[in-house]
Amino acid sequence: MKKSSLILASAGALLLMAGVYLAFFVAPDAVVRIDDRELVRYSQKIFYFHVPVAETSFVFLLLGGLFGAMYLGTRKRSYEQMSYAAVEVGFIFVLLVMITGVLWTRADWGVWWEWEPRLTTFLVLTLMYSGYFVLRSSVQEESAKARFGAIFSIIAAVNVPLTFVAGRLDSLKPVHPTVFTLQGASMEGPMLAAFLVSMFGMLLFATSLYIMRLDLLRAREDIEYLKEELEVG
Amino acid sequence: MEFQEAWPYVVGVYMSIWAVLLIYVVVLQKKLAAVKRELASLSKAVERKG
Amino acid sequence: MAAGKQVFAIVKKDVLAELRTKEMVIAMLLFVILAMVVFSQAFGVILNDLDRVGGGLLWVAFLFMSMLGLNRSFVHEKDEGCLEGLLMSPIDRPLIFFGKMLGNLLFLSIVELFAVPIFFVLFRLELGASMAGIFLATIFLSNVGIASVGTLLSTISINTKTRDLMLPILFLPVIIPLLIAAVSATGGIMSGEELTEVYRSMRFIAVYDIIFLLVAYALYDYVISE
Repeated sequence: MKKSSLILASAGALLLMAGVYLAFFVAPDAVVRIDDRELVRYSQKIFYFHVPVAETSFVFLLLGGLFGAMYLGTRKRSYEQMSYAAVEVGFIFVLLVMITGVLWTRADWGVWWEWEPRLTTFLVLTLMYSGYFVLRSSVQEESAKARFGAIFSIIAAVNVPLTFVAGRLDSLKPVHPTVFTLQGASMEGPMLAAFLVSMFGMLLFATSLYIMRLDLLRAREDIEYLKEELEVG
Repeated sequence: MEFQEAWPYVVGVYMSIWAVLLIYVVVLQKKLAAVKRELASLSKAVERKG
Repeated sequence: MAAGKQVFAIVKKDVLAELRTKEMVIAMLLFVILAMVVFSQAFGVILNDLDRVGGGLLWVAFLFMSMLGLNRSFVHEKDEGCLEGLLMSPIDRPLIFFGKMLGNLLFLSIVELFAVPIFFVLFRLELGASMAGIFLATIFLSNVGIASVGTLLSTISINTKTRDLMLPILFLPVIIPLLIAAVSATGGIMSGEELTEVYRSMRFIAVYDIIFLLVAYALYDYVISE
């Protein structure tokens, strides 16, 4: 493993473990009041990992679109590799959002699935970025693969917020809890600390994954180059 | 949901996150190792050729 | 040549080709009507409540019909080498997008102009004259988005190995926000909801149109040139 990705991965893993400790042993259990009775909502513990995963996925998908645009602007191969690596890491996290989201929905609402704006958004996202990989694999020529991949990563990144807003237009009322609003976070103290530690841990770990993926892409390119060298020489 | 009912889901969430991330890391490392090996043998071949 | 003239020339080329064969518009119209028949047979029971599900039904038919047309419009270009011809002509590259997009918009709108009355007759729906205007405006507004996204994505998909199979996979997830808003707008009109709700959805469609018109226009050059 390369040094930079090793350091990032271990730092991320340490933070994530600290996050687990904080979430389970330091942060107080969430409580809801129903008719004077206090009920513990233990499923709230899922939040400490589910939300960091979701925000990490957004960050990397957005970066994927940004690098895609930079590739189209400059035609530098390295940007295309960065875009591809970012989208792939983002997609891994989108899948994790789906898994953890479905488990949370079952634990908190008693059903596995609900057609609710945020859930719908992530399902559409999953399908859209699956399309990205199908598209890449169905183009043979390298330059066309790079161009089409970059173009679709931009379109997809633009579409993410639109899908989210559209979901709220309809009679489908949002029932997903909102923690962060423009007024700030609706939690404090140990809860916020546990969340932030997990959040940074997840971002660091994802960055190390991104670097590994990029290394792999670059090494493959070197191989292609050497092969050509052998054939020509 | 109380602890008794909710814990399988909570544990499931944490396990699935770690499982997916670890599998991804292992796959990436395996592929990287294979690619590095190929790279080494190729560069040797190029050197021999001059 | 002025920009408008160049765009017009491309649209004219597509219209003339279509007038000669008439294969695309007729096939699209038949497809929409058949889709309505299939729906009525598949969901016979709940169609008593058509005021509420009718909007969705119409949009599913329109979306699939539009994909049919979008694929067609580029299969010709690709197979008969027209795209290469367009690229070599003195037309400014970015204007090719507007030409193709306007052509698709035109065909979509023509087919829908025939399909909407048939839809209302078949499902025994009624709409006042003022409402009909808003209804058609919603459909046209959505067509702009469908044509912009569709023109860009079908040009990409026609250049892949799987060709027309690729379009739905790329097109449907990107068009979902527009579908949500369009269904909500037409459904609102048909069930006599308050117009403020309808206008809110229409505003969203307009924003979607503008965003994707700009994005598709900016990206189109990268699709067609090596």
